[in-house]
Amino acid sequence: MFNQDLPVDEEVPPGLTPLREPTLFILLALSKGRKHGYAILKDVEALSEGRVVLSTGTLYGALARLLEQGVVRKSTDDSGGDSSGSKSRSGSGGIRVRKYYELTQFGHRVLEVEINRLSTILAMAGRGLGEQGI
Amino acid sequence: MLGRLLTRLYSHLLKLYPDRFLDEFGEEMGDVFALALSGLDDSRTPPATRRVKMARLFFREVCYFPPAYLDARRYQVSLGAGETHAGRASYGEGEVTEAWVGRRAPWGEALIGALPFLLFGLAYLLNGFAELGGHYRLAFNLLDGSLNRPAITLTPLMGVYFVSALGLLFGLLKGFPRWSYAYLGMSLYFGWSYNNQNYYGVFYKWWVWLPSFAAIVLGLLLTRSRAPLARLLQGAWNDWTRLSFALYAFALPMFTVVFFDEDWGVFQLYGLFFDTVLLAAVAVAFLRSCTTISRVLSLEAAVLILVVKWLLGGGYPSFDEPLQVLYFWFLFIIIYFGFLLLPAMIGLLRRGVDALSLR
Repeated sequence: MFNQDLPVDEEVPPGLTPLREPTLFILLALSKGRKHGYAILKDVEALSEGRVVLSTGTLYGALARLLEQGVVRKSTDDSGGDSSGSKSRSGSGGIRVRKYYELTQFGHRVLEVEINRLSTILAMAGRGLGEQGI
Repeated sequence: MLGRLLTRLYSHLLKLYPDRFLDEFGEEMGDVFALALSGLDDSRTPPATRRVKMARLFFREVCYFPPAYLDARRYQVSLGAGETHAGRASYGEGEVTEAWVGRRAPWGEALIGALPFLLFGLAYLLNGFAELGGHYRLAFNLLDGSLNRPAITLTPLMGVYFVSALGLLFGLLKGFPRWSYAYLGMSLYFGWSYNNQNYYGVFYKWWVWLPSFAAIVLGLLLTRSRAPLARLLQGAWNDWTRLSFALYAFALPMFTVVFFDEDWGVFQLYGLFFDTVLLAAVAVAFLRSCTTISRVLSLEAAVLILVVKWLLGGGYPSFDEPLQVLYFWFLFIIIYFGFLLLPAMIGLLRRGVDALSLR
């Protein structure tokens, strides 16, 4: 259903970047390995030092878009993953297999392009401020 | 306690998301919210602080709902032109089948259907305070030293109109479930009754229809499909009491306003409060009923009770002219039988078509 296997060297289509701040932090959280929803939520908060606190609606709205764009993929198997385990207890008491999200190769490329873009802007801003002696 | 309440409220909030999105992410979102709540359950945090944090967590979900909804809707459209997925547990009803026609609405859905009547009544109660300014002027004077009738009367009512249009939009996005016919009827009431009318110095023209119109256009743009409108017609065709309910939401507010304008008895505000509770309770009764006859009877009962209350309350003699009395009974007959006759014609037509197609 999703474009999971886009080649690495494919150009990042226009419109995909610049990323919105929550999306950038979601990708940064996933760059360290696959994670389930709650772990992403906590990681985003930690990475942004509490500046970006996502609602579940914002998180899953962004994940739906990223899945559709082939930037992340979803897996439900319990091999690997983070240290918090792979199964959760559902509200009704049953065991539910936890779903994980991870960056695709294309997703890594998108993140790289975005970080490069931000670095360039930062460098330009630094130069501009330097010329003004600030 | 608070955690359970918030989890429950969150599950209702979830149901507002589009169906296909819910199928894909609904369970996970519920789990993540529950985990986030339990993550705040730290014995070192004072209970009051913990409760505030839990409430903030929920309000964050509410505040970020509109943009998240748009993301979810766009996702659904990308999957398949906004088609409603049948058989999921949300406020929508999917295909209007025989099974849905006999379905009893859950309490949450019934209360959503009753909400516009409650809000309308509350707005008119404010209007009532303004109308009886002579009695209550002191209270208003204590507040701001003046009685601003247009602001008191029109702002809450336009707020109710806005909520009705919003409900119409959500109803459209959800494939016009039964509760949404209340919002459809109420939106039509505001558009129809305010158009070309002067209320407290504001002359309403065609533009009073804009909120209803915008709700429909926005809904169609978001779904990018004619399916919701087809579902509206399909719903009325398979279950004509839905049209009766829309007529109820359209006509009963008007009827109570007529009573209100003509009834200058001492108990005017009590009467209005009674009407409000009655209209909302009957909406709940309608939505909780699962047979055609009980649905229609509940609506008809509301009209009868209103008339009896009005006659017993001494409102009738306030009509000075025979023409006014005639107008009142004409209105009563139109409303009373309108609920039954016009929509039931569709039911009869459907039966005829079904009988022909079986031959």
